[in-house]
This record gives sequence, structure tokens and C-alpha cells, in this order.
Amino acid sequence: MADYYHNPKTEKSTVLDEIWEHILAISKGKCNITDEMILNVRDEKYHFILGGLQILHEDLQAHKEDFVKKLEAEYKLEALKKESEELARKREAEHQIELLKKKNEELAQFNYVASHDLQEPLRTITSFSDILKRKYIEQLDAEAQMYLKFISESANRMSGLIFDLLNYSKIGREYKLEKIDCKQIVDAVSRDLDYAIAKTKPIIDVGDLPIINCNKTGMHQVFQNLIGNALKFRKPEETPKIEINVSDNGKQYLFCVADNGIGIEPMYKERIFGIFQRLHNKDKYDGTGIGLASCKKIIEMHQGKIWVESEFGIGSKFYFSIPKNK
Amino acid sequence: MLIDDDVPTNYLSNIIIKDKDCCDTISTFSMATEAIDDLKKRLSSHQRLPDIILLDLNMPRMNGWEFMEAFNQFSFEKQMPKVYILTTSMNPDDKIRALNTSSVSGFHKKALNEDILDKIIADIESA
Repeated sequence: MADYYHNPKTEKSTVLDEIWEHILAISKGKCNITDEMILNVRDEKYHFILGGLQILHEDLQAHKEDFVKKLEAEYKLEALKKESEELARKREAEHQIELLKKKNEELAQFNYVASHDLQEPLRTITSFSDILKRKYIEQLDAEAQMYLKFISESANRMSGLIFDLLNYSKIGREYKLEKIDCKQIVDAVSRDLDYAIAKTKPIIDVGDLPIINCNKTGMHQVFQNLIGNALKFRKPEETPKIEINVSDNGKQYLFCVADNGIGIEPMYKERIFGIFQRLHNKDKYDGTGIGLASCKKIIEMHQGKIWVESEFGIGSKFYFSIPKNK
Repeated sequence: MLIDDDVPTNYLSNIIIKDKDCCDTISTFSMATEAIDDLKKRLSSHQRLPDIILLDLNMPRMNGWEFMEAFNQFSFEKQMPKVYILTTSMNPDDKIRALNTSSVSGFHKKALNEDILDKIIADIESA
């Protein structure tokens, strides 16, 4: 042993290398500690191997603790990170809820403005043009009478627009789903439209309609608009025919309200669902142009889609889907 | 030529123009499609075309921009009518689009009044 250290000329490195290789081999499990080594532990070579292994083992032990500590620290850090991310997400969600609340308050404010602040001056215009008409009509010439007519008609139209806009903005405010028999809705709508039905005498063919999970008021509005439109945009010389059917593909119900009315040119198939969009002049067909926009909003709230297939001059088929999981 | 789906608006524009006494004939259309048909007819029969068109944007069926698309298809031999948009549209895109459409000469807020009419007349005289 002394030779290795005190006599630099011996092949110290070779022997040490050999011992080191041996230690490495054992530590890597490539060979085992043999009985020979233990029995000959006093032999310098084996002494060093076993000693080295001991050191290595202790070293590893020390490292193990370090390693565990490091792992723990990292795990804690990870947990902490997750926690803070969770917190950030929560804060973001709370922030969004806060924003939504604010938006809702703004909308409520808007409703108030629309229903009160806008309606009031409008009522004044209507009232005074009525009085003017009643008290002074004889003093007005035909021209002035025409002006007065425009004033009161425009005020009435604006009142209607505000009313419709208000209702449109209210859609979905109180959005409650319940099990509803669509047949009952169609029956109720038919009662609502009894004046138009008595006037136009349509043939309405209602197929088997399902019970669906939906917002009752909303679905009533959808059917009312679609059936109402089918009657309104009828061909003047033909008996209006309306067919209401539904198909079920397992995932969703697909409703169809088909008519034999005047139809829609393909280029307007999308536009009709926009708010205040109309295809006809006011003197030909009345209405503010909000009906189909409302339908779209309601159907989309049910996570469904609404569209039209139409042949101009032949008739229109309005389709809307209602997913079943809703 | 006045193109607006709102009857009172056309009526009012008529009054303002007549009061100004700046125009010998006014033709009024409440549907842009009918105005296009009228222009087509005049072009094919070599009749006199309007000098000025006051055009609304938001109209049922053919809107103002669709009118402009159809209008730009025409080949005017002599002078092309000058189109001025007269709208309540508060959409800034409409104004930008008007500035970028060479066949549109101006963009004004509805309704027509003496001021706007003076501006339009000044614009035509300066051209």
C-alpha cells in the first residue's frame, strides 16, 4: 500500500485504475463482491475496493438525502405553482363574472333608457301631434296634414322599434329550461294568431312533435314568428299551406316549418336573420324586421342552428335544430 | 334621383330641393332595384340621366352598397350621375367605404337640409 503513495515509480496509476474499474463494475451491478474479497480484505487491493465501495455507498446515501430534498422542494414548487395558477384562474373567472355583472347592469340601464327615457319624448311627439290633429286639422291645408301624418306615423314606428329592440335584448335574460310539449306550443301559437288564421284560412299540417327541454317563452316566440311569417308572406292568390315536422337523428331534433309562400331569393338567405333587416318596403309588408333575428338568438341559446331553404316564388322551409342534451 | 325606402324622407328631400329651386325634375324611388331598372331603361333608350343621385344605405332588399355595385356595372357614355350617400348609418365603415368608392361623390348625414344641399351644389360646381 505504501508503495502506491510513496514510490511514484511503481505503476500506481494502473493499480488504482484497476481498483476504480472494479468499484465501478460492482456499483453498476456488472459483478458482485465475492467471498474472496471479504476473506482477503487485508489484501491492499480488496481493502481499497471495499473501502471505495463503502465511500461510494455513503456518498450515495448523502446524495439520496439531497436528492429527496431536491425532489421535495421541486414538488412543493410545482404544487405552489399550480396553486397560484389556480388562484389566477379563479381571479380571472371572478373578474369575468364581475365584468358580466357590470355588462348586465349596463344592459338593464339600457333597457331603462330605452323604455323610459326614449319613450317619453316619443310619447310627447305622439300626444301633441294627436292634439294638433284633433284641434287644428281644419286650419291645416293638405300639405300640412301630410306632414302631421308623417310625424305621427314615424313616432309610432319608432315606438314599435324600441319595443322590439327591448324585447330582443331581454331574450335569454331569464333563461329557464323545462320539459315542454311542442304540440302545445304550436296550439298556443295558433290561438295567438287566430286573427291572421281567420283572415287567411291556411291549411296547417302539424306532424308528431316531441317533448323537448327548452325555454318555453323562447320556443313560443320561435313558432309564432315562423308561422306568422308563413301567413304574412303568403301568395295572395293561393291558400297558404304550412307543414310543421320534426326529425330525430338521436343527437338532435330537427324542426321544419315549410310554407308555400312567396319564397326568398338565395342572396337574402343570411340577411333575413339580421336585426332590423327587411326584404320588403313598409307599405307592402309591415313589421320591424326583428322576428327572425329573435328566432336566431333563441335557437342559438339552445345551442341549435336556424337556417332557411327556399325557392323564390315557390315557398320556404325554415329549419332549426335543438340538441337533445340541452 | 332620390332613393330611400322611407316615404317621409323622400317627401322631405323633395320639399328641400323644390324650395331651393335648383332642380327641374326629381324622380323618387323607394326601392333601389327600381332605380337601377329606371337607369337601365334610360341608358338603353338614350334618355336624359339624372345629374345627382341621393342614395340611402340601409334599405330592404337591395341596399345602398348593392346599388353601387350594380351602378358601377353601367357604362355611361356621357356624364356619369354623381352619387351622394345620405344615411343615418353611424357605422364608420360606411364612411370609409364611401371615401374609397370613386363613383361616390359624397357622404352626408340624413336628413337632407339646406346646408347639405348647398354643400352638394358647391361640390358639383367646383368639379
